[in-house]
Amino acid sequence: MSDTQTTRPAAREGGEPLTGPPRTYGAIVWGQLRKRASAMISLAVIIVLALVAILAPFIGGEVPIRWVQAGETSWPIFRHLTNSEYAAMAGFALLLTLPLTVRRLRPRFEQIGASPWVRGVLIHGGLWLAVTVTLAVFREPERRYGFYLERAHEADSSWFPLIAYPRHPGYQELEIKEQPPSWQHPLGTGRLGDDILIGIVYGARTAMSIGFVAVGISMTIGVLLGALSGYFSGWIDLAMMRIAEVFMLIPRLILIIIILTVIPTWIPPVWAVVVVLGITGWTGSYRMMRAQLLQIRGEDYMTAARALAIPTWRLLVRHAIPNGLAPILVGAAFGVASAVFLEATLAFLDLVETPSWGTLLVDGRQHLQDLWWVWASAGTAIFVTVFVYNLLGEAIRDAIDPRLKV
Amino acid sequence: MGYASIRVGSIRTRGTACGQAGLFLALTAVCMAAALLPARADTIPNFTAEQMGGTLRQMMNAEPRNLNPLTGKDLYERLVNVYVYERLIERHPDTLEFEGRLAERWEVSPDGRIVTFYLRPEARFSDGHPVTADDVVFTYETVTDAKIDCRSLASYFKDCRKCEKVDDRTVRYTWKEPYFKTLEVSGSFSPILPKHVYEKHVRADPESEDPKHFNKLVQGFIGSGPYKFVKWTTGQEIVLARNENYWGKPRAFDRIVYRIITDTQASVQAFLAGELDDLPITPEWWDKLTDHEERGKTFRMYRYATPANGYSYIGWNGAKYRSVTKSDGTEDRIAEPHPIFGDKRVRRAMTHLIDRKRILKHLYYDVGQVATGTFWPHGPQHDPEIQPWPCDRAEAMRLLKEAGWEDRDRDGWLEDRTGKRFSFEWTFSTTGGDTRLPRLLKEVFRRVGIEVRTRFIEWSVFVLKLDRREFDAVILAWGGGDVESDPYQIWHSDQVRDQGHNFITFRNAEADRLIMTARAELDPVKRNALYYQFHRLLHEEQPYTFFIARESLRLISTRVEGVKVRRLGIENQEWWIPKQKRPGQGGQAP
Repeated sequence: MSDTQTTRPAAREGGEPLTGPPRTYGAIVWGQLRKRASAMISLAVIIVLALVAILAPFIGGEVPIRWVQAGETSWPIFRHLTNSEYAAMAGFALLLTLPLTVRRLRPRFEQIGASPWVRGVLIHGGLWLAVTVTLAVFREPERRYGFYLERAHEADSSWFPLIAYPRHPGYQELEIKEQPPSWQHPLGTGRLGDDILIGIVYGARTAMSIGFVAVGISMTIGVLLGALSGYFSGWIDLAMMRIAEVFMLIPRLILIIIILTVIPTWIPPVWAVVVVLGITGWTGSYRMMRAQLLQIRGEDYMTAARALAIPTWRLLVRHAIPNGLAPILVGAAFGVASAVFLEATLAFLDLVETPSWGTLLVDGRQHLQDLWWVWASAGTAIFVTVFVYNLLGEAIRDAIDPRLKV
Repeated sequence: MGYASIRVGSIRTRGTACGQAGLFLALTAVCMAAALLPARADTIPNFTAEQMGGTLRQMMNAEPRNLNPLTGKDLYERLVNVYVYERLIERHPDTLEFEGRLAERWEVSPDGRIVTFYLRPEARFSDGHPVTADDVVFTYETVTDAKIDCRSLASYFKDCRKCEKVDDRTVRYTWKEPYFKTLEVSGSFSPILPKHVYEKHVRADPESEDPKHFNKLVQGFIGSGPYKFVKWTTGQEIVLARNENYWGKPRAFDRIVYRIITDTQASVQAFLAGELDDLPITPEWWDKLTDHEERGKTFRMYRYATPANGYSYIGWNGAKYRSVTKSDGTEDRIAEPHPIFGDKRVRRAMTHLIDRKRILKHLYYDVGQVATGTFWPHGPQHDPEIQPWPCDRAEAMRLLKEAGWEDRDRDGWLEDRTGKRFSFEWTFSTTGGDTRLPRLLKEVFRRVGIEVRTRFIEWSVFVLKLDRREFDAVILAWGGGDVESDPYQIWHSDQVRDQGHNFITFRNAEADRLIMTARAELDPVKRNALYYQFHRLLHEEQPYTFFIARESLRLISTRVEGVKVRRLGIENQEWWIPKQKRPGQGGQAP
């Protein structure tokens, strides 16, 4: 026993010797997360859901991917995809490739103060912005209704989405309303003859965007204000805390109902909901960030950084905030889940007419026995989404909890 | 006249302002108005002692705002007060002729301007006081009092010069101008209130400006009807009990209970479980229950059309309003012809694009019929020759092209000559509940290149938008119509201003002339010829796309006996429940 102590002086918990630079906090948390199967499965489900949401027009719809008529080949779906769909695709691709970029950047930025993550995010963010702006300025999507499905026999060859069926029902589709699941309609048809699977696929968009964007907005506001509040404390903290208390008192549902009645029609109601959720929901992350900062500002590394005369903004952005961010992620994961729930609630109250899981649930509600495939599909989709986000949130919480670390 | 909304495809009825008679604004499909027929003494059977007793259990799908017979703002108030109050005269449900209720006879002067009623000597209020001319005059004065919150009903008496007492049992109404509805309005529009009870409320405080004490009375009203009010438990039930002092033939039921059940599914379940005796239902449930195994055993299904059912329609706003600030700082609103729907060719094209037969079949289960005009399809004013415009896309596109709307830049959307896209805002009330119709039509229009922006707003805001005429298109319904209606309130150009009911700004000189001439024409044959012309004019102009003339659908338990379908519908007061079939609980809400 005494032998091992003398021969191997510096052994870490895991038994491996301490070599190279210390692992970052993020790397430790990620390592913990990777050990949990549930977290990884949730992450995979979320990525699949996001893929489904982004590629919805390829899964179900009436616009063909490839269309050959009179020897002329065209790719209608790419002309029909809207700019925001392209922007979402680009964003998703850039998000998934972010770790690769970071890995490539890593060897070059090993000195203090230049995080490969920050560079990576900046590069990808810039790319995404460039793509989005270019699209918005130069591209006009095709919006003509092509009657492609009705003209399918005229084509020499055509590739339709997996479920070749109109996204929204017209008179034709009324004839086959309320049909139980079949091969043509794997999840059956709804009360207007709409295909439920298409509804679920496009509903994933609403759910995803509501969750991500609303939580993104509220997190950004909450983290920034929380950091300022906690770092400077004093009267800034006092004033901001009072403002936060006011926001905590606002009944969100009622505010949303009021805002939905006053916004002009060119704003899609679902985006109004997202913005309201974001603007009113920041108090949770604000309070958490503030508490983190109150603790972090007294840490040794902060004192050291201050002694090095690092400017305050850099102190906050590079040292204080990243170290307090992990607990916020827990809230974010739970926040996405609750946003999905809230969207379903609003649809239930007929407040948003965007096709969503909530509206499907409403459609099925009055007809529990007859239209079980409608509410069951929508219910399952909502359940799975909320469930995986909660699992992920819990996993992150455990991963950052030092008491649970062995 | 007033508003109420009836749920699309469901039976929620809510609203603002709705008087004792006349139209109310509704939201399509089925209606609680099914149960609105005031019983005629003649049609009430002489119940035997065996048949008397028991409780009739009915359903309300929303809470009434109040039960004041004059200031009540919704249909629910009417459902209750139809048992508690009586009018001077009422229509016979089969012959549709007027017959006396509180009045035993009446006289109308040849020019229709003077109507004299002779009251029944035996008529009594439920507290034992006789119904006298003073009560009738008092009611008239209360209704027309500007401080009483009863404007919708008062508007019908606008052209009535006075109502005076001749002697204790004789009342005379004098009208300013000849009008074919003077008898109907004077005698059957207002319930008669006891002066000795309410005088102190109406004139309680002559000093105070507003609002009179009477406006604040919410429940506990005393009338001369066969039932009297007992209690109203918010969110649960409204209970009426037999008026033991009733002057006429007694009705069979000891008590009438309205249970308040807001959820359609829950109310159907309650009915099937035997907790209700009578239930108005939606076309969807009608379709579902048609093959129910209990049908014919524990319940029967009734379907009929009454003028109160009204019709649903899509209203195209004929004007666009622009706010202008005048030199003195006040705001003025100037109406200009609507850039899209100001053109009758466009309105007709819209009608051609809407496949009403198919929608009726698939969304409303063929309950009702496609409407062509504003009159009751089974009444004398309706021209049966007029056929609804068919669904015809080619004709619609031709009309649109003629009006200048075509796809000029090949982008799939229709544009006018200046390149402005055919795009309009369609406003819906969320109280409607059923979003199927807007969803379907939005897509149907998109497929021909018309952009529809749908907007769902809460009912109270919706009514505000109607009053300010801030919409391009709305989908709504009129309910509570009469056997013979006067189109003045909805279609005359006078009704455009001051939040009148012509909220789609229909201005047509010929229509105005027909309305005014027909109004003063006392000869029914000549008058109805004018209304036929008016009907045809509306058909050509299509200010509304007339949608569905609705029908009443009711489930009635087989416990109930004496159910008869008359021309004006089913009358609950003719019913009884045999002793052995009465539930032990007496209809209490469990």
